[in-house]
Order: sequence, then C-alpha cells, then structure tokens
Amino acid sequence: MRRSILLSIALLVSISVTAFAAESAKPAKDLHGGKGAKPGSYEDWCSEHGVPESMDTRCDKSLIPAFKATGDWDEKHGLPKSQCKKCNPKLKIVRPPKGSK
Amino acid sequence: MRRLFILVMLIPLAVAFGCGKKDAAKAPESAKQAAAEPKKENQEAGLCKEHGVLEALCTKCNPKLAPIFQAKGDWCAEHGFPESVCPICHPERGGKPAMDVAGDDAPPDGTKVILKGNDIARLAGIETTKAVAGRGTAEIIAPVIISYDATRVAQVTARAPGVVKRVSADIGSWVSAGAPLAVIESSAVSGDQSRLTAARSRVQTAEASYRREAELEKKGISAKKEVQAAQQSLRDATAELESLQASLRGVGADNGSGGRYTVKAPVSGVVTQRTVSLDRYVDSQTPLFEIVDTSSMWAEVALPEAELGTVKAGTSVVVTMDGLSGREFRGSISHIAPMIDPQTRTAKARVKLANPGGLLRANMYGQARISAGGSRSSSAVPRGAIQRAKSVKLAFVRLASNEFEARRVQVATNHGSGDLVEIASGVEVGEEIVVAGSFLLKTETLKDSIGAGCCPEL
Repeated sequence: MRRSILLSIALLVSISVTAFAAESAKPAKDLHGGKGAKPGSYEDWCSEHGVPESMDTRCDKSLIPAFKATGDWDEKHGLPKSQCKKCNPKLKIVRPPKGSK
Repeated sequence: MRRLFILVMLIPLAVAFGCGKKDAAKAPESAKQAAAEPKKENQEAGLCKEHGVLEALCTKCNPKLAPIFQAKGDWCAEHGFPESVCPICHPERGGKPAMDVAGDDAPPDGTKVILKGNDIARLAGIETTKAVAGRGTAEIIAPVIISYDATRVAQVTARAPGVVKRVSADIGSWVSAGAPLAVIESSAVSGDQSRLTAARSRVQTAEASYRREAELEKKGISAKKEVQAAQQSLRDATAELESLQASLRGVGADNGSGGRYTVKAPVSGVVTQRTVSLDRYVDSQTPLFEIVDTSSMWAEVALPEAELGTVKAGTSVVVTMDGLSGREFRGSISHIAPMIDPQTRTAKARVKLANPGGLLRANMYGQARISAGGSRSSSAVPRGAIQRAKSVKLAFVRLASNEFEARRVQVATNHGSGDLVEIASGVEVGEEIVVAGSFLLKTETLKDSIGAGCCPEL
C-alpha cells in the first residue's frame, strides 16, 4: 500500500511539472510588451492576446475598472467591448508599425 | 478511489508550482506593498484618501490607467484624473463613477488552458461528453442599462423671470401633479396684475358707456353709430381683460397683486434635480426642477450585430439586474436603433419595463435574456460540467486532446431533465464539454486570483 502511494506521488510530481511548467517554457518576453513601452508604440503589444499591452486586461486585471468606468466593458465575455471578437468577429486590432510613437 | 487521490494531490501541486515560481518574481511588488501599508490604513470604502478618487481608478497611484481614459476621451489634462471622476472639476461626484467598476475575477470568455502532453488530461481524470440539444429555444444574453422613460421626465422652468421666495420640494421627494414646488416674485407678473386691474376698470367703464348709449338710442337722443362705437370699446376692453387673465393663469399667478406666482408640478413623480434656492433670481430659461415618473423605466439593451437578424420589435425580453438578485422584469422590445455603434458593434434596443416599488433605478446594470426563436436550440450539459467562478458560471470545452477553453455560460433553467442543465448561451450542441476534472481547469484559469499572479492562458 505504502509503495503504491509513493509511486503515485512520484507520478504526480512528474505530471505536475511537465503539465504546468508550460508557462515557464514560454518565451514570455516575446509574447508580452516591454514594461517601459510607450502606449501606442510598436513595442506596446501583447502577442499572446493580440492587443496593446497597455490595454490588455487579461495580462493586467487592474485595468478592468478603467474600461468599466468608460462604458467599454462586455460583462458577458469578461473583456472590453472594443476587444471582444466574440461579439464582433470581424474586429481587427492592428499592431502599430515599427518606429511609431 | 485511486483517481480521486491522484486528483486531490495534483491540484495543490499544480497550484504550489505556479505560486512558488511567481512569488519570486513578485518579491519586489511585495516589498512595495509593505511600504504602502500605512497609506492603505487611510483608505476606506475603496477611496484613495491621498487623491480623493476611487482607488481602482486612481491614475496617480496606477499611471497605467491613464492611457485608457485618454483613449476614451475621458481625461482632465489639467489635473491628471479621468474627467468623469476628477475630484477638482467635479467634487460633487466624490471621485466615484456612476457605475460599479469592480471586476468579477472570473476568467474571460475563451481563456485557454493547454496541458503539456497529450496523455496528461487522461491521467488527471479529465473526462468529456458532448453537449446535447436542450428542450427550450436558445436565448440571446445582452447587457442592459436602465434609464428614465424619456416620455415621463419633466423639466420645470420658471414661467416668468423673478426672485425665488419659497421652495417646497427637494430632491428625492415625491410630488403629485399640480403640487406647489416654488413661489417666485416677478416684476413682469406684477405688471400684468396691475394691467389686469386697469383692464377690469376699463371694462366696467366701457360697459356703463355702452348701456347709456343704448338707453339714449331708445329715446331717440343718440345715434346708432355712437352705440356701435361704445359696443366696440366694450369688446376691446373685455378682450384685453381676458388676455391678461389667461397670461396670469398660464404663469400660475392669481388675479390679485404682489407679483407672486406658484410653480407647480406638471406630472406626478420623484424630484430628481433641484437647482433653485431661496432668494435666487431665475429667468424663464433656467430649469428649476426635474421630475421623473419612475412607474416605468427604459432598459437599453446592447444587441450584438450578429444577433440583429433574430431580434425584432415585439420580441419578449426578461431583464435581471445585477443589484437585484433573482428579480425578473418582463417586457418586449419597442424599438431597435437604426444604427450600430462603430466601436462596440452593438445596436441599442429599448424595452419599456414596469417599475413597481421603484426598484429599478437609472444607470443600473443588468442582463437581458431575449428569446431568439427560430431553429436554434439550446444545449444541455451534465450539472457537474458547470463551475462557478465568483459570480460567473463556467464550462470548459475541449478543443483538442490537451487544449481546453473556458466559456462563460448562461444557464437557461435549473429544471433540466434529470442531471442535465440547459445552457442558453456559451456552449453549442455537439461540443465536447468537460464533465470530470473541470475543477482543476478552473483552478488554472484563476491562478491570478489565488496569488500565483500569472497569465490565465497557459
């Protein structure tokens, strides 16, 4: 019985590390805009979510109240209306070109 | 039994892994938080005492919020606050917006969870089943904001310029139609009252003159022409008298003297605005009171562009308000706007709602359930597939063997057949729904809320 428990724990540890270590393997810097990036610039871009990093509520939940206060919030999908592709499948958010300020 | 044990062990391990990794990265933030501790002690009710605005919207404490307000045009450049809550420009607002801006802390719709390795889902005990067709028709869920019924709003202005001598109604008080709101002393009204007195006198004189001429004509002393002239004078004087009486009646003044008149409520309702104060001079353009009959209100529904084809005027709607849990208001769509908001890609639809007891208040937020009808059918999933994350109900859809997507679902009814729950929106018939192990997936999407601090999409 004890042997079986130990084996289970060892298995779980290996599963957990492989399953949920996905994030640590991600090139996070490539996906998310730099911290000092100027809003509206090329560098201010979250490649993971396809929106400017300075407007990304999925990366920074503290931005949500600002969108709610300006009436740009979709309660149903938990995203700004202006970014919700479920409500507006034709919506295209274009990354600013390099060198834009 | 063994699977349960594995699941129980897996969750804390996964959470602990995420927390440990992120805690190190967050160490400087923790230090900052510790330094900010005395400041937090001064905060109450979410207000930033240092800057006088809601902490969640304080652009001084969190400068990252500023670009959002600037992009929306809600920005006071002079003071560096959102214009809508600027404590210097609008001190009466107390630094707080009209709506609740707190987040629901649930993952956004479509948040993906990707497991590393194809067999992990099986080992973690994740099982799926296909969503089947439900019995009811699908519903469209759309956000709602409550506003006054514009046909029941009265802006009361002064009928004639003057000085306010008495104020009888205040904000929040209920007044019936015809009830006095204020008394105003007006020189224009006083002039009309004086002219009325003179006109009365002229009528009496003209009437006496006419009678005299008529008597003289009967005796053959006076000519018919003079009688007709006297009669015309009487008619002119009477017309002037009636005109002045109508003018004073329209203003709300009596036929006496003193130049005072009473401003009365044109409709029954609640006084929602009062700009008048004692001894203030008002002209006939200045609104004095706003009175709203709140027995019925309008619900402004934001209909997504994609759903416009299935909704038309007359479609029945059930509205539930965030602040009135469980209370349903029923109505039907009376009007759909002919244009779509270019930013939100939604069209406004109006629903007139009866408001017994005044529970509905302007600017309240809620949700509308609109029966879509047609051939679309709702889906049904096992009860165990529904997870609750804060105030939001979630289901997880399997997109690939190791990829899952969180969906915010609207449960149509809890009285589904047997163990099935009908889903009004969020899950389509035929999609693979997680029925076992969904708690593990939910935990992953909520890492941010439980302290791991990482992006919910893995």
